[in-house]
Amino acid sequence: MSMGMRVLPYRVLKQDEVQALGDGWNVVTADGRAQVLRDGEALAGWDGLMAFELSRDFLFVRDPGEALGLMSRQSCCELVVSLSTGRGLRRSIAYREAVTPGHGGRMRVSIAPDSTHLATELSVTAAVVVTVPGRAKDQLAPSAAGHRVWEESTRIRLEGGAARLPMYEVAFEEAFPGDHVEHAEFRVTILDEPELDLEYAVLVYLNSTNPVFISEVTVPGSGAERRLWGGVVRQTIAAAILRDAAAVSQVGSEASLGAAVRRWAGQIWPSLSLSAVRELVTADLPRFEAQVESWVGSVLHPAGKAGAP
Amino acid sequence: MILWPRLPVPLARPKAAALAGRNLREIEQEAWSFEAPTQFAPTGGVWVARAAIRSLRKSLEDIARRHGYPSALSRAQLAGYESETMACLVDAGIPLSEALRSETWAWVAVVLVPHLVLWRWPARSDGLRLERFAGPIYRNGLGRLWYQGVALDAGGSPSARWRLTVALGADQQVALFERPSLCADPSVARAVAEGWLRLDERKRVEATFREAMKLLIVKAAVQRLDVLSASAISGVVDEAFRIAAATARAG
Repeated sequence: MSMGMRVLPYRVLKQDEVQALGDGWNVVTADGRAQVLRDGEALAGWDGLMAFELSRDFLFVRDPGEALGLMSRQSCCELVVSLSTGRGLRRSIAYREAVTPGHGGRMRVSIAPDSTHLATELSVTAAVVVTVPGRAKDQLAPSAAGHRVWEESTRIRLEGGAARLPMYEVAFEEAFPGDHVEHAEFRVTILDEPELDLEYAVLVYLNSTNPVFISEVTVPGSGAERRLWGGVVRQTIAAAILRDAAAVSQVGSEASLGAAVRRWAGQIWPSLSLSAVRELVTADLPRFEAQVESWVGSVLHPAGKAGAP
Repeated sequence: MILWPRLPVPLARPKAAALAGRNLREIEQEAWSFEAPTQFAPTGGVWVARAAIRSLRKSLEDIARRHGYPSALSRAQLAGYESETMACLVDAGIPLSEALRSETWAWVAVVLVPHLVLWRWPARSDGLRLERFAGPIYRNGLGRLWYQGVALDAGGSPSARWRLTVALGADQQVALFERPSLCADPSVARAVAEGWLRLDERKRVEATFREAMKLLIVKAAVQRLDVLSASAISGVVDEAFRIAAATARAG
């Protein structure tokens, strides 16, 4: 027999009663670079040494106590911003402040996460929680400290995907014995799980016995850069949709392998469905490859600018 | 920023699999290195000093020897071995941004001290437990100890510092730390351990702990535990253990 802890239903704030203003979190790095980060976007150039500040305004259109049915004249709620990183393995509160009673209150949150404490991604969750419930107007009012009454979460990618696809330098002879790839410049391995985040599903290995290629690949506009990205995109799309086009087409997180393949395929063949792209791979591989190469070239060097897909 | 070596998990697993059936002493003789396929973050920072790595390996080996290595680890020796290893890993000073990665622990387990992980987690009839070498941090043979240690480190004198890890047995630690939604905030993890200590010793059975974890996860979905005062969170945790103990008794 199992007994539960009582969790009564309670009133929460409506989405229009609290508003997270702007499209996302404003980021300013120590070197003065500013960016607005929406959910799923990447903080460009992040590493463990980067100092940056996140800020965002929150507007309380209606007094939260009144909206929740709490009768206290004092503040009953706090705005709490917590940070989660390392695939959810570490979480901490970065900001908490009592919400001043009244209508139309605005709160500005500024936080400076310590990059040496972050890994892989950063989820920033802003929440309004009840801290001092006090007297209630009715039974639907939240009654316990800690009750969640509003929440908004933004996941910022620090690495992987568009932020930084992991690339590893390995001696192919040692890493892939028996595969006869010792003279290859690079190798892409793609796991058979489209729902995995791209940085876990796609690994790029550079052959450490070819230091010339490794050094050229970092030069924007180089042939090596184009060969590498052409190979990564071509092989990722082909492998993913040949294995399971249906799984790729399903909705997954924006950072997933499936989402990346959909995004790339949608840009290369805007009028083709994934099953039509699959047909293309099997029926006319040379055309498929040339079209990928052409798109990668246009993305890497639009009017002379460089940048990974 | 000190960068620690990493071993990509896809490369670590075949290396770990190749350890099955090998002699511990023979593996121990093999030198570790920063050579490929070891990686460092391709970003700012300096590589950890080789001397620090050498020192960590020696400390881990000394602990293992004190607990019987290379003879088979007995159940009686297990808790003491893991507790000392945990403290050693927490004090190794691995930056959080490096230690929160499974690749870092895959390097430690597969390159630095594979003989110790194989000694602690020998192959079973169905093979080697690869996740103990190259899996999620909370499964990695050493990463999990670090993760538990940093969460439960109570500070203070050496005896006070690890009292919570001593209080939670191995089974309880698994039940807590394989649920990051609950324990990712160290203050919550410590509150759970404190609650377990307050529970009447006769009621401290595995089923009670597991049931309490389930209750707390459900509770945390509507009530933020990390914003509560120390006394309030204790109240929530105690209630969960009280209900779980009653459930275990009724079951």
